[in-house]
Amino acid sequence: MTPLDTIRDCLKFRTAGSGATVRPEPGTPIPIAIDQQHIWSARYTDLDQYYPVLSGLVSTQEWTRAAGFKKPRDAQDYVLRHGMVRAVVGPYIRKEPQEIRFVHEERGKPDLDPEGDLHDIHFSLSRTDEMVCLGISKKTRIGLDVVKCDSRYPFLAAAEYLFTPDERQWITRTTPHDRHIRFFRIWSLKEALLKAMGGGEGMMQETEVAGIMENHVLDGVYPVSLGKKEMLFVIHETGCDAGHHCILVTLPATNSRTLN
Amino acid sequence: MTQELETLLGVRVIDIYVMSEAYISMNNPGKPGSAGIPFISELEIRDDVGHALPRGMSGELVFDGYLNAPEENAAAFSDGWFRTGDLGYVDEDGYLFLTGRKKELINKGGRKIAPAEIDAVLLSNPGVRDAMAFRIPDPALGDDIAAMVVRDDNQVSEDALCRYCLDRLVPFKVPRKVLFTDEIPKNALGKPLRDEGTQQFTGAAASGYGITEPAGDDSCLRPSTTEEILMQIWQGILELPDITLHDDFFRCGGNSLTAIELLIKIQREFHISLPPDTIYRSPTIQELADLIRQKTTGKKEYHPLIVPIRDGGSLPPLFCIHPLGGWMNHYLKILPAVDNSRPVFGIRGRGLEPGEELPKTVEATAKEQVDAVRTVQKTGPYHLMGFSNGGIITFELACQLQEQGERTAFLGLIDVSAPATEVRYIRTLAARLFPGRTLGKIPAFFERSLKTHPDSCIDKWIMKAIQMVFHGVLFRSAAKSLPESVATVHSAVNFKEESLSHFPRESHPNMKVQLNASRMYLPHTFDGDLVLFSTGPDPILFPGDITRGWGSRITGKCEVIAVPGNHSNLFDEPYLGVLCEKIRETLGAYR
Repeated sequence: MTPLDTIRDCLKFRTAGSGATVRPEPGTPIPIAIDQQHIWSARYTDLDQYYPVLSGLVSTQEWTRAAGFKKPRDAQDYVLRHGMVRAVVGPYIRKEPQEIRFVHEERGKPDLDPEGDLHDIHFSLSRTDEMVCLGISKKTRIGLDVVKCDSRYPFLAAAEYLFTPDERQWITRTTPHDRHIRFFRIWSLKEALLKAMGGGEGMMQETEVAGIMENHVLDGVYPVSLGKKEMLFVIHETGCDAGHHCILVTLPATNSRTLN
Repeated sequence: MTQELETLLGVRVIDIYVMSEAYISMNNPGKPGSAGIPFISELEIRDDVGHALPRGMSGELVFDGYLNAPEENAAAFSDGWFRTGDLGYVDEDGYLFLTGRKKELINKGGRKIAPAEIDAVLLSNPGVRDAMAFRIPDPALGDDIAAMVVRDDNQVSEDALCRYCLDRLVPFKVPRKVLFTDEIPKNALGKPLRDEGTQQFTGAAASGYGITEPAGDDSCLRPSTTEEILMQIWQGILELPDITLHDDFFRCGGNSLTAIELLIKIQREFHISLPPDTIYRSPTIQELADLIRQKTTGKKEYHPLIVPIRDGGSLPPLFCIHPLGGWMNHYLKILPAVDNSRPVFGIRGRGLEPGEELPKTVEATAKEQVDAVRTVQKTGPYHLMGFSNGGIITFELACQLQEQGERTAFLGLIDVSAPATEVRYIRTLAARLFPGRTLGKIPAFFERSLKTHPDSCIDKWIMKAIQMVFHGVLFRSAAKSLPESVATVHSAVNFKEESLSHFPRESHPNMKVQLNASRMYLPHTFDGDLVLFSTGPDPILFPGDITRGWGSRITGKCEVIAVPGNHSNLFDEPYLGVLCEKIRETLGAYR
């Protein structure tokens, strides 16, 4: 029984892109198509019970990093989500979770060490105080962001700070009650785009997404302005748990080649 | 000392914690710094509201009363528990550590601080032989912290010690003032007498312990640091009380959303816009503070007369104009009275830097200061404040801004009378021209007329004539040779050198020029309101006029706010607290 099989009762699974959502069979390598993305999510409160299992999967380096957290709960959550990444990714690359090696990009975004990944699997991890989401893709970079739509967050000030005039206008073109939802839709889309492109927060002000936000739910290929350029992205928008919003972005094959 | 005693006596020294009511603990087997393992089974550590605290957390020590003495317990203890008044905690091994006395706790804006913790940090500095932290009154926070230090190394400065503490304590525990002394006041048992520290700070009894200000430091209170402001912002966002300067934002529970929230608050507080990825590049308070300083003070080139006292905040800045001498000390003392959101800039006097030439008139002084003010705040409404001679310059500054079409929203003068140049001259000249009791009343007539009817045509004409005569003729020729009679009048009107005897001798030349400039100044009329913080009327120049001559110089309302003390001591305790309170109330209305 693999660690993923042990914890799978607390994980939610969805697919984006082609094909129906078919939960992978326990105990076998997990297949994923090039034009498909998998999303695994869990609440920390559900993962807690598997702390002994998950904490046994993380590396010494991850333990050291966990020890640096100020709040014990943050340290525990770090161990839980990194254990979950190892447990889930292992069957995709046919490796024992403990043997998986990660590399970190400049901003700290982890990715699989290309030397140990023969299957060209990519993943993107996102979390809130309550839950963790893991997106997995094949042969293309992936960016996933989950956010809790908290109306108490100073979203208008943040929009003023980060978003373009058109994006700010789109937020205010709805009832005050729904504005924070629009803010978090744009926020999570931009975060996911940055992760997919490997850019930092500094690029957030350069992306312009107001033009595509009128779509009720994003699910397909959309053009996004990046400064003076325009690029196509595969975007899947999904609510996950109550109050949370999740967006997954991958690069179409042509864009992916350009960026790489 | 323990080692010395053990060597000398050939026995082990064991710490015990006892009081008349009980024999509480013994440190055997010993643990450094501990009072040992308690004997009393019913010993608890409790918080302020009486809840028992877990191991490792500090609170008041309580135990369950006299053994087998119910009557005594009922009489002596409330709710069955004896409250020792001692503060401490029990560690994971069951060892008791004492951290101070509850009554010594400093309540700084609701935060309870054990001074012993600050003592320990100061004592860990190799340049410090002895130290004692104590409370000082603060009009805004209730209490603040000061410390007395006996130096081993005279090179250790107040600033260096504050920096040292800032690296080892959360910023709100850093002493706001460090006094250097030869001896720490202690009782017969060697315990520090912190109340004496407070008394000496607030009173004038400093000489008893030979307290000296650190060389070269003419400030009294340290302004809020960038680190302190950042610390408050971090604590508000992360809801984490114990953050140090070197903690990583993301290791404290921060994320990309809260990082943006942090940047928004920094923007509001410091008026700078930082790139969205700033927190990833500078994730600690220390790094952020350095970056903010670099972006604000580091790159901002202030006019040479501008002294940034507190350069962050969202409200319009308060400009404080130097009193006689040219320094800013007084304004540092009233800084707590000014809203944290309001930047405060001092305007220093010319002549403090080598080779600087002092303007000879108030008008010229103010003209340069208007230029300085407008480098910080291009347009009004302005907020200006001036103490003593600085009040006169402040008034002229407001008049000149008015001439340039700018509005001054707050014109606050502290304990200064309007310049009575013409009155002085008429009185002196008439006394010379008409000696004797009967003729001597003539100048009094002019005085009254000028003070009570400044806007009447005849008085305006008289003033114009005086202005022409005194400014156009006498003072222009003053640089040359004056006729003997005029020179006599001139010198009689000028200040007396001995009146500066309580100022440092090296500052006399500057003061002489500044004071004479004020005595030659004929003020314009200011179209606005004025607030005068006054220790009392001026019975010599303006008898019966509580506005001390200012009421007739403005077209708006002159609000007089009485403050205690006199001109020499209103910036010292116990009067300082009231002055700060009045300034805070008044200035608070000008948001």
